[in-house]
Amino acid sequence: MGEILEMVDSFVSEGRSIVLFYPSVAEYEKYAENADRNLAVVGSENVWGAEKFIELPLEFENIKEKIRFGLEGAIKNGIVFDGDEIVCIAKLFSNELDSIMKMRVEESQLNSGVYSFFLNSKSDASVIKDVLELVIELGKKGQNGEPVGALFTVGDAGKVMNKSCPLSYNPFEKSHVHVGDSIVNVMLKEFSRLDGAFVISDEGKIVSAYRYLEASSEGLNIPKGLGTRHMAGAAITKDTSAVSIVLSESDGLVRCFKSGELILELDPEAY
Amino acid sequence: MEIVEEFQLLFSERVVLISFLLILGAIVAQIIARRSKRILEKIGIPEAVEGTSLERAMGKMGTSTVVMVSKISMWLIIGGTILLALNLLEVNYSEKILVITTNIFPAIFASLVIFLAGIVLGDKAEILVARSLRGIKLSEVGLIPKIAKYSVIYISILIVLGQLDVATNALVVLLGAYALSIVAFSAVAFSDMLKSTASGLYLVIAQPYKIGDEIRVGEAKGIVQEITMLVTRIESDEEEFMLPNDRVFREGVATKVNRD
Repeated sequence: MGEILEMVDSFVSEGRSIVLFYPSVAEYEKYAENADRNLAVVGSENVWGAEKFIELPLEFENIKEKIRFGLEGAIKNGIVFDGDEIVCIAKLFSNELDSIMKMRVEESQLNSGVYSFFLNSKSDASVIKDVLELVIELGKKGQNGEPVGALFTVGDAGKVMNKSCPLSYNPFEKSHVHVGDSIVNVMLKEFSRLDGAFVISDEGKIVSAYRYLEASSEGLNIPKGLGTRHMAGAAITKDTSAVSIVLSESDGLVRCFKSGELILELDPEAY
Repeated sequence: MEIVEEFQLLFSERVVLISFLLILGAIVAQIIARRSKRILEKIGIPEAVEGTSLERAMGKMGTSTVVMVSKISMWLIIGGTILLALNLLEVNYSEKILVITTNIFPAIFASLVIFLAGIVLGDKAEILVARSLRGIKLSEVGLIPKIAKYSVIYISILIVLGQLDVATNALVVLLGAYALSIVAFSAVAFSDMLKSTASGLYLVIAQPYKIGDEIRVGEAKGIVQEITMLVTRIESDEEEFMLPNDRVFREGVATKVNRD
């Protein structure tokens, strides 16, 4: 750990921005102490009290995604700029910061929309993260080993409810279950049996299940070959300010939509 | 002559016994220290104290809170064995000292641990409060976590002093006055919130309207987006209203009548 810090000094000329990815508190402090340069931290929560902090709610396994989405957030927050040469320090093999990368920031390559999917949506980032984790869990487990599909809309629940109709009695009527609650993990298996969409409110309340989404798919631009579930999930995000998270039954991938566009594609098995 | 020899024999036996005891004590102390370190690590103490100022101070001295606590327990055991050994040697000290040491020793140990725990908990409280206030960039807000921290430390000091049999009545009265003033202050400051929460409780249980319904409260009209304990958020085409729940209660709700 100490050697990495020395390496940074010999490796980086003065005045470069340094971006740390998920450091521990002790590691951050060591860098903050003897760095008078532009130091930013990417993490899920600002436990370091860092001045320049980029919130990335999901800790991506893949280092490439981690850096891409972290830097996207750094650009959005005005911490680094297009064309800057920066240094990223991240965990690659061990559980501490062990690798240094020097790179040029290319804004055009970092415009995936993942950062604003989490942070600039109507609902809280933590709620979207909870739902995403739920869907990933669902994708991993399936139903008795069989792959299942699911569709969750998050946020703007009032509008979503008015743009959909019930397929059956709402099992969540008069209930007060939130996606972050621990009971949700127990109910997970039951969830996979329900057809239609789940509607989650801005603050994470499970408003309804069994919803048939009636948004129009006109002018929708999503990749061909995705089924009706994805179509419905994408369409509702165009008509409302909700985002949707879809688990595919056929290929097992998790896809996130916002404003009618595919933002993120994840393989649940990789988490 | 015989008596002297016997005495020497006895004495040497005793020396062997005592040195054996001391060595055993040292070994047990080491084992306990290591065990307690492992147990503390297993129940997640290092994560719990991470970031607190005590841990940071310990880190600067090249140790950690966990190591410190296990060291304290080690020295306690070693001290105990030395006491026992002195007792066996029948060193001539008065009964009084023995009583004092056996009574005060555990009390000091307990108060040390309580004090350390108090400091750690205080730091933890500060961090937690500061984290929940993180979004607010206001210099005055920095005071609240500090107040939380020192309240916890104050209480721990009270407990410590109680352990050591120091008269703490005046300090307890001070604590009572402080707690009372907080209650009185918050009763006045948060009266609206209390009202809203009480109304919110009814709304959450009875659910006169649910998310997606179109309702009207006084001037505000729109689709319900969220119902929390404090507020109901409704949204019309142009505007989003945040209605305190006590207002919903006072002004009543108009919902659409279903006439199918």
